[in-house]
Amino acid sequence: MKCDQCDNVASVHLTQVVNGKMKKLHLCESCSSELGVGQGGFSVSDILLGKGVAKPLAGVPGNRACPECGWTLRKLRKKGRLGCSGCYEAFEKELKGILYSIHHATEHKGRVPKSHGESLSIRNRLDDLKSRISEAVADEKYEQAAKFRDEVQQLQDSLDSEESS
Amino acid sequence: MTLNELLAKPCAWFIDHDPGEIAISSRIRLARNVEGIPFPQHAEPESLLRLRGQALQVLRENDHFLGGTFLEMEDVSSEQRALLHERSLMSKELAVESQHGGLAVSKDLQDVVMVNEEDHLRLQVMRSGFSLQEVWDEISAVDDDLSEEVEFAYSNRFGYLTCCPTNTGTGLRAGVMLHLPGLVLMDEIRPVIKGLGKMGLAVRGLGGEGSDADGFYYQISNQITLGESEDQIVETIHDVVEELIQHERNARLRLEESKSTWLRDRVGRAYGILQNAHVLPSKEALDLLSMIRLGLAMGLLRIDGAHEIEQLMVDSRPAHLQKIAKKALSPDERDIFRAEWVRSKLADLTKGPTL
Repeated sequence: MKCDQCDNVASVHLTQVVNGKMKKLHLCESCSSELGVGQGGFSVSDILLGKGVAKPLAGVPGNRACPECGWTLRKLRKKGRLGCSGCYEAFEKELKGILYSIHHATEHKGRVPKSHGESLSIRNRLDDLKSRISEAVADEKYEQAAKFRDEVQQLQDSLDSEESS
Repeated sequence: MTLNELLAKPCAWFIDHDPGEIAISSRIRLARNVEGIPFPQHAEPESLLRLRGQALQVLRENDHFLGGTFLEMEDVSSEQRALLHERSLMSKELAVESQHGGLAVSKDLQDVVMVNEEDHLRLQVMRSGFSLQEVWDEISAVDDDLSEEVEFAYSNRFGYLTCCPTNTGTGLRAGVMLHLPGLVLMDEIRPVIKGLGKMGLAVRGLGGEGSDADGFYYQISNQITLGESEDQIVETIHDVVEELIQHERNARLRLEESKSTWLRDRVGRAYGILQNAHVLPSKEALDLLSMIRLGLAMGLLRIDGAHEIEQLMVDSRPAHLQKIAKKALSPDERDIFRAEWVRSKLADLTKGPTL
């Protein structure tokens, strides 16, 4: 089985209930240590209580700064906050670990602001609907699945027409 | 609408539901930041003031906020801020610490945008009762409108970029406030809270973040904002709340079956204390009024005044109480005035309990 984050063979397998849904994760050795998994700082409540935030940052030099606003890794570690939107790029590697510890995910699956383009928004929505169809089928909610399928068809059509125009 | 006109209106989200309804209110907030300016705690005052001016101007011209109220925090007194906070129209952070904060409230008091809180913009829509889907439809429309006027900080990988990583992604927090006396009195609330925690959901009290569950009020909300779509998050909370409401109904039935006399005693005592107390701390007032609310919902008290009881819960909060008294009161003076106010209001309503 492949790692969810890269192409290596997964050796760490996790199951946890998040927002009421069972989540399974398969990670390779290096991704799991990069994300801070298995170092104890893994539960959502720990992170929210501020216990876990620093863990994925252990051993990283604290004086590295965001080129846009000057916020440092030390401040991120200390306050658990970021200085500007550019910090997300500047500290991407460290943030992935933090975000993973909090949300058990590192990628956004929701809406897209209008200024960022209609087709990206539709693509995200399509991905979301497809995963919800499999969830609905697994729960034997076929009527709901059919509703999602119709919506997928509709979105696919509008995506096709936008891309051909 | 001026701030005084706004504060003269009733606190709609707390009162405008069917008396005795288990779900008190539904709320969603979205955290948004503007590209190119550091987050409020790290930005220059001039940038924040400019951003606030622009944001309030955009909102003034927005359909959702026609005839609304637009405020710059330095023009709002600490008493007025406390009133806005008690009505959930403003966060504690903005009420207490804000230097460059702004606030827009729609005419119906349901849509709110806070400016320069932890994030540049915090959108909030709140309605009475169990109306999460309507709230989501409304707030996503406001969000769409704003995204045409403002370039939000957003990345394809991480979604909406927020000051705190606990909000990254959707920036969405959806919550429903529930009145759960049945589950508490049947001693069944603990496993429920534990179960919700295991599902990654947060359980809080009436006062929001960091508050205890007083007066049988519990707020259920999501904690995770990244890796799930807004629809999924809203649906999860919706499904969980629907189930909790059913549990609460069942608990009330069993309460009536197994502890009928005890329950009547508790409700009757609550009523008696409120009618006769001369010193009434706010927590005690909330607990007793909450017991009356249960008594009314279960038909154990024959007074015609469910809305008045809910209004008393709003009136009992410190800033509201001082507004009624038309003067500043020390905590001890407040407890005395609260007792006086509740006694007089109950005397207006009362034909006496028939238990």
